[in-house]
Amino acid sequence: MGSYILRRLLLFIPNLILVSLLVFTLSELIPGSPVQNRMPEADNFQQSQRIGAFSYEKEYARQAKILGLDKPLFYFTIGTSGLPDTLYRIFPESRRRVMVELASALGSWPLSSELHLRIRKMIWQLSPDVEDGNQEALLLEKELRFLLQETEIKRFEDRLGAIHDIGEQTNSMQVEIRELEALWSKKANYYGKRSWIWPYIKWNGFDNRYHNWIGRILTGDMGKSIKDGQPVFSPIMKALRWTLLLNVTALMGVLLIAIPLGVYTAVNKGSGFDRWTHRLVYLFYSIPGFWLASLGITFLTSDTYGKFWHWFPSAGITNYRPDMSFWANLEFIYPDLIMPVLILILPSLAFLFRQVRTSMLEEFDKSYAIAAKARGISGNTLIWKTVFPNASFPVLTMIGGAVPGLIAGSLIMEVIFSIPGMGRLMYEAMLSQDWNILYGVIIIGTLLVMISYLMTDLVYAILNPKVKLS
Amino acid sequence: MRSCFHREIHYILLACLGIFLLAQCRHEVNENDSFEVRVRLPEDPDMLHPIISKSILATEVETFIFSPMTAIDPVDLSLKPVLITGIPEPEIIEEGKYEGARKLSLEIRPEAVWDNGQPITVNDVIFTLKTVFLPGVPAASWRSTLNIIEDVIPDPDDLKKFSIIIRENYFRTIMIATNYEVYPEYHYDPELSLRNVSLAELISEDPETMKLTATDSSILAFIDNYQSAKFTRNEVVGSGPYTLTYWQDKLQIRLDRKSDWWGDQLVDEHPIFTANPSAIVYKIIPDEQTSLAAVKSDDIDVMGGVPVSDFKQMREDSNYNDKFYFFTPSFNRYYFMALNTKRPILSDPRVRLALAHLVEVDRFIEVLLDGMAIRTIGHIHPALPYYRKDLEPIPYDPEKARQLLEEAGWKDTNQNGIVDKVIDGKLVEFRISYLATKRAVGQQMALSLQENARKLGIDINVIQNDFREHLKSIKKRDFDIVAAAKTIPDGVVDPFQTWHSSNDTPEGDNWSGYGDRFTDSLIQVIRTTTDADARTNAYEEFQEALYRDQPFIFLLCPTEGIIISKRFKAFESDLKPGYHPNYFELTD
Repeated sequence: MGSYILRRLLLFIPNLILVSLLVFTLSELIPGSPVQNRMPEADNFQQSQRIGAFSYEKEYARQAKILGLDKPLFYFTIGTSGLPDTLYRIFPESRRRVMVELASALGSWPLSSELHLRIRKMIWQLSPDVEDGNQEALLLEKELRFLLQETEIKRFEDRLGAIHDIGEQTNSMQVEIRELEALWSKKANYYGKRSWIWPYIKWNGFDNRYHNWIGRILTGDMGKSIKDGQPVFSPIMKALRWTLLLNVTALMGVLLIAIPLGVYTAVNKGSGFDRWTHRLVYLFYSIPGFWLASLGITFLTSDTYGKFWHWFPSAGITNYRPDMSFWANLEFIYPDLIMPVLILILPSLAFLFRQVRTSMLEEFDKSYAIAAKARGISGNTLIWKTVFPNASFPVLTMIGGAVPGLIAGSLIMEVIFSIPGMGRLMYEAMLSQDWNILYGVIIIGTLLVMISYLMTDLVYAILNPKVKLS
Repeated sequence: MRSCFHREIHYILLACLGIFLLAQCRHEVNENDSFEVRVRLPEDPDMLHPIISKSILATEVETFIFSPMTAIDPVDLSLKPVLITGIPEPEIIEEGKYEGARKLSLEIRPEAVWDNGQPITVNDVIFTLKTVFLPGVPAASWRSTLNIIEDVIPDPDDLKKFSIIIRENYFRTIMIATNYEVYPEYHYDPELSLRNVSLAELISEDPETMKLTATDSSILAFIDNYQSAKFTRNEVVGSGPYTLTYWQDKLQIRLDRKSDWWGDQLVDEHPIFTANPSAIVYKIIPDEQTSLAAVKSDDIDVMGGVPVSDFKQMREDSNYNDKFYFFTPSFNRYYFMALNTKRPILSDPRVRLALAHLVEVDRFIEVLLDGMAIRTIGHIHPALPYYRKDLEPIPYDPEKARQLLEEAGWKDTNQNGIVDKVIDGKLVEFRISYLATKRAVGQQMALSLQENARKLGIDINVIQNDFREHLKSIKKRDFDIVAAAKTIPDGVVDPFQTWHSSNDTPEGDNWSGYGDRFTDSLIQVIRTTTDADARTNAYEEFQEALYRDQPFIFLLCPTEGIIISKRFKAFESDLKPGYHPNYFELTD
């Protein structure tokens, strides 16, 4: 068994690496950027300075650097040979996107990049006149800024034509405009050529975002929350204990109710109790938990529908005392947990109840059970000592399978009952793009799930010697 | 066998009954007699650190922990001195290094002290500003506004006196230069690491200073520490009337009243120093129905943002009328449809006015918002004194719209059901695009306008994109009509962002491309004049220009449903939305 455990523990490493890679990739695919959360609206930069857009970009790039986003994502980059391998250095991401889209339309990154550079230079050149309130400069500068947004050839051309006309009418920047037009005319050299889209792979070295992050994780440093600077471990542990408290209690409740009910109805198959239990359990199963929760909160937490119905405290952890430890607080907070635990129990009953009942019925029909009966074994001994151990495998499977859910929490229940668990932590981290928290949650969650699966397998082997660990 | 099971089932049922009874016993019906105001927050603030926090919820809590030099009075929206003795008047500097710039001479109140008894001085103001401009501190929001400050010069003889040097002549200068929370240097920078850099050099991004801030170990340690959980949530210290007692993640935040707050001596001078409750407890409850249940069971006293239907239902129920105030202050925000005036079809003000006559704003307010909104004719909130009340909101009037279209030359000449007109020698049909938001109200408005316009021969193509595409289209001005909402800032309104022709850029807010020399000059007067009457006149003229030209179809300002327990005498301000718990008084 020792070598089996060791092998399983070693398998944790590739699993964790795989999960971390997956999370990192997904984080790149999700729209938005954590930098955005640190930035004011772009137009606020224009309140007192005309070169607002560029100040914004400068500040954006600075914040991106602080967050380490100015480095390549991974050890290698797979890209198209037409695009540079340093795209990740262009901020904000919206500017990067526009440049890439234009390059894609033109079939040339160097041309797209050069055009942007020229246009930005022209805007800089115009800035003193713009600041002095020169209307002609303002008009030209405005058109140039719009030109920086264009990604379609026809629209770019139209806008360039308008800039040409303004330049002629106002007699300003004509040389630069002609140079820009000359540059634009080079597009014919690239248009239709698609060789630039051939893929390539580039080695980025070890100074990449993934390497830096995994390096920190291996030294036990999960980083700090991007949102509020808390060490990542702290909010995760705080949330995890709430989730575990809620879900483990609910799981215990399910086991305590479903197992005796399943066994009893199996023993009394076809009885009135069996039929009614089925109906009741499936009724709860068919009611969505969040609706049941809303009903409970609306009808059972205030005097609105009469004092009799005021059974529970209003939702949320209302009695928590911050001057005491979490566990000491259980004495005060358990009334707050009764309703959420009940609501979590009710819909889950049906699944386990049915599993236990079916397993028991199957086991009763097996020859060893019939033989035991024939030998005169009956009552509790036959049920609990002879048949139930064999029928308990589905229960173990269910407990093992419930662990990811136990750790991930139940977002809807946590929101409705204001319980600060893992579901809410993950959800809010996703909304605020607090990747460090999300990475932490997923890594810790994966680790706990793997440990729980290992333990379930070990318990299988202990309960049934026929199960071989290999 | 059956009997033993009957016994077990009985145990289970008994256990369930026990749980219910236990819950009943444990639940104490709340009879809170203490002067503790319990306010619902839908989520945690991001942090309690005014310089770097971004969440509006953070501002709500921070207001009571920190004090600014000046604050906006919710009664009349005027700027009132808090940490300083009076509102300064800008003076032009005649000579020296800052010749031509403006100077604000300020003095911190003699009463103003930190919690440790130390006086609040210019060093704290300079420290606060340095943290704003320090590279590495994510204070971009503040940097973008406070960059009007050039330097702060302390009085060599008195650390309570100092001058703020400002380069620009701008009407919100005093507010911007003084309306931010001041941090205690002794607490946030006990090592005095930032004393090694000058504020002026930080603001001007002097290369040597920038290099120093990127290499000096004590400054780097400060930057790291300043954004750490210690200062964002655990040890938050300010000079406001309340102190942060604890913040339990996603549960509650408790602020307790300081027993000897310096501002208590000044309440008689101005009610802005009022801070009555002995504690303000923010309960974090994300779900609205759960929050309402908590209100009904007296577990929270104040809830804002109540869903419209619940608010109406409770307000009409006499049982709740005895227990709660139902306030409906209007949000500082307006909804509008921006019309792209650069598009040939929409360049004629008569056409834009015709479209305005096709929007059933009153019906939207009544049907979609259950009356929880007020109409507005422009970008200024109807409660503000310089709002043009004499200009009537444009009514829904299809006949008038038809007439205006005909006057503008739009007729269905080819009998295809769509009106048309020759523009620049080409026959153009009245087909336009409408970028709608994905919110239900936005969709309803778009579809209603589409239907009303169709009857007059106008074809509106309603487009709904994902958020990124939506923004991209706005940036490129790739729309004819776009619906959106804008926030109206506290205090005086600056039309520059949205209406000055120089902001008709991809990054700018002038989405409709509106503005000419006349309107720009009005904006210039509003921003620079020191004559209050001249500014009011300019505001009024500007509103009239917007009303006449209709670059936006102004729709409404939504109102917020706020429920407050009648345990308190509550305070309501039409001008500054919210519930202002510091003004609450216990009822007898």
